[in-house]
Amino acid sequence: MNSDNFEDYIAAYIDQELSTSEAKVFEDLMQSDQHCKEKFDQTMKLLKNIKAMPKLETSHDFSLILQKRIDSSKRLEISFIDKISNFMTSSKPALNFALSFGAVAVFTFIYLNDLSVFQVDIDSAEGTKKILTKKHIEIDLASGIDDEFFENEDKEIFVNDIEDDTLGKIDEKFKINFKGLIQDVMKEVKNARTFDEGN
Amino acid sequence: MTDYTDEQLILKFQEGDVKSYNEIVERFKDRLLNFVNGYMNDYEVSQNLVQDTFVKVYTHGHSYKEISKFSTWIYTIAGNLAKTELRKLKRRKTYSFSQLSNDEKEFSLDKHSMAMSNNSERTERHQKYHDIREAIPKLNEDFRNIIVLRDIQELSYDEISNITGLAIGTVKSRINRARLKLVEMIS
Repeated sequence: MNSDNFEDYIAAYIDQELSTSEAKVFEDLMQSDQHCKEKFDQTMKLLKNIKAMPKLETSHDFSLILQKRIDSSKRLEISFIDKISNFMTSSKPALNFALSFGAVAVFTFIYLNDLSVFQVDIDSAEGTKKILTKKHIEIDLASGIDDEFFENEDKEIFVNDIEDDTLGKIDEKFKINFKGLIQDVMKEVKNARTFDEGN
Repeated sequence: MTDYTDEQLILKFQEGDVKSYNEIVERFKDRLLNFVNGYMNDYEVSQNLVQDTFVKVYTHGHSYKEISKFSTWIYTIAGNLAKTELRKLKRRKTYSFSQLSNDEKEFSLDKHSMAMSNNSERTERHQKYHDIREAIPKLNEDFRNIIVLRDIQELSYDEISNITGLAIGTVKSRINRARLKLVEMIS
């Protein structure tokens, strides 16, 4: 230790971490070198002032404000999913019943109106346009129309033309057939009236 | 409750005991305020940061592991928050000063010098305290952190070493240099 590196030992001297011999050298340097003495005194004065500095205290409403901030941070932490989850778990039985009833009503409506909202439309998913063939129409007709209907001239034209038809054209043919069907019904009604009047 | 150690209190809080949390707040609020004020030298800002620290302790209390002292953990949180706030303030100050016109800059500097002259009217003792409080935040971050922990908070070298992640030898040499630097700044 010498006057050049004296400063490095000030903290160790204050903390009493120097050995007896080192402490003796340190004290001798302070007596012999005014600059060393000055540095040590200034450091001691600084520490004294720091220790004497009035300690700051938190305000009286510190805990109250802190509690409010904790409460607001808790509220922020509740995510949207948690809110949904809470709503579902904490809702009242009457609301649960109403929601269930609504769901049943919707499904019943869909079923009764034959709305195929849940059927997978494979053709549209594949991006292909559905073109009905003669075979498709034959199957459809076979399920709902009397054999006699096929004997009509309209029907023969319809079945023969269907092979290269698009869906739009097929719909048009169906409209003609419906018209014929209505005409047939009207005829039947007339016949029935004539029969009643005859009786 | 006052018989429990800090570590026992935080463990009890982790188990859901809110009273333990309140006791932690009581024990640390003033210590942390003085610690953070060493960085900020602004009572209101420091108090807000201490509140932020306690909110973090509340929301992240489960992440404390008993491998370190609780005081080390909480001082680290407060120190990190203070450093982040200081960086924000520096950016804001640079921006706001650069936005002023020349006249406004002169007026601002006049106000600063007026404040300085008002300080000189205080008693000598209070002037010294004021100078120390002003000088500490101006120290290099490595020195400031250590002088606040050692001379204001009076923590042991061991605790400072844990908080800063520095070797004890480095802490000791830095405290020495920080004090000398502070003496130089004040005189």
